[in-house]
Amino acid sequence: MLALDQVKKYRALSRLMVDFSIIVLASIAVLISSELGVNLYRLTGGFPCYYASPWLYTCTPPLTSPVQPLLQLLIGISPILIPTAGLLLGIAWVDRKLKSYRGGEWKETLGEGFPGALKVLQNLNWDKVFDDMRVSKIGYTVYFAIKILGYWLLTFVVLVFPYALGVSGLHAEVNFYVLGLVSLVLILVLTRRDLQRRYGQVVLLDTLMWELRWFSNEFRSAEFKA
Amino acid sequence: MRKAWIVFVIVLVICAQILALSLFHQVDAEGTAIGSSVIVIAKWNYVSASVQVSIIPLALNGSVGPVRVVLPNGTTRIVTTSPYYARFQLPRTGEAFGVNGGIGGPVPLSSQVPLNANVTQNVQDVARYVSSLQAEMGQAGSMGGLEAQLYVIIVYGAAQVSVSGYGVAY
Repeated sequence: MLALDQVKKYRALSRLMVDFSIIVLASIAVLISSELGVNLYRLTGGFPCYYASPWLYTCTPPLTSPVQPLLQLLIGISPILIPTAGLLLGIAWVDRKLKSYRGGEWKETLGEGFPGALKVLQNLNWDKVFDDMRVSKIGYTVYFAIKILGYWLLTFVVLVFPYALGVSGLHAEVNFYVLGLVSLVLILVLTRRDLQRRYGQVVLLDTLMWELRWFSNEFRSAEFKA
Repeated sequence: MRKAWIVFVIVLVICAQILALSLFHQVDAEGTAIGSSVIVIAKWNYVSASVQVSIIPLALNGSVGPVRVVLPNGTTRIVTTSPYYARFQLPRTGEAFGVNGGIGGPVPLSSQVPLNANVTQNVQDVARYVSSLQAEMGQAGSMGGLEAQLYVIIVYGAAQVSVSGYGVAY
């Protein structure tokens, strides 16, 4: 029954994937809106500060407000900041919802002993259970892949500045493919335990599905005979 | 089911936003002006743009400036030591719905690049250079309302010049 609770939890996770998509897509919409707003502002008012050359940041005097350069910096990093915030918010939302999931509705019935256990098993919709397991497996894998991808992107972005500065300081050529590979390996090493655990759970779901399929066949035929 | 509709609506909104974003065009050009230099800003008539030009006088043989700047409206500015900034609002003057064209030369224009800028250094004969540019722009004629517009800034002296502009084509 605990395994079935776990299946329900995974099923809830696959439903939460929609919430996750909504949050991430909304963050992309917010990002594009801010880009549109910035473009409109550039057309009408314009920013008093701009990069005259890659190393020369100049402001047209008089500077209207000291907040302007800060605002411009925020706008500059918003293509990284907003999607990252959306991704982290999505992950936090899914984790919070999953943690709040309680199960064990069967405990009370099971407390009645063998008749209770039989009642619980008879009330189970086996076809739905197997469907849930299939959907859960896909949802679980997709969610984990997106999570790793998000962490990878985040690590890449965090490492870009120190890497570019360090490598260019050594007069070597900046190669972002190398950085991509380094950040991927780093994130795989850091999440290796989680990775193993998740992989184990997917394998467990497979095994559980075969065991439950066997059990449901046995249970149904026994019920038929009775 | 309701959440699936929310996803659908957000995707539609993002598609519309991307479409709107593709109307905006950015242009950047920079160079070191030596002798007589010409800054050219070109756009199609269906583009509304805002362009900022910065001219920073350079030190030659130990002394800075002066730099003489002739703006598109014919007025002249003398820049001595401090940087000079000018912002131009280039209005949309017509429309060319469904008409596309292209112009080559130093400031090529096309439907993908409806706003462009270029800094040409050390021009020997400024008047001839500008008239050749105007002739090139005029080649497009006025096909179905499509018209190329040219804005010329002439810089006499040594200076670091940069052009940064944003335009919207609609």
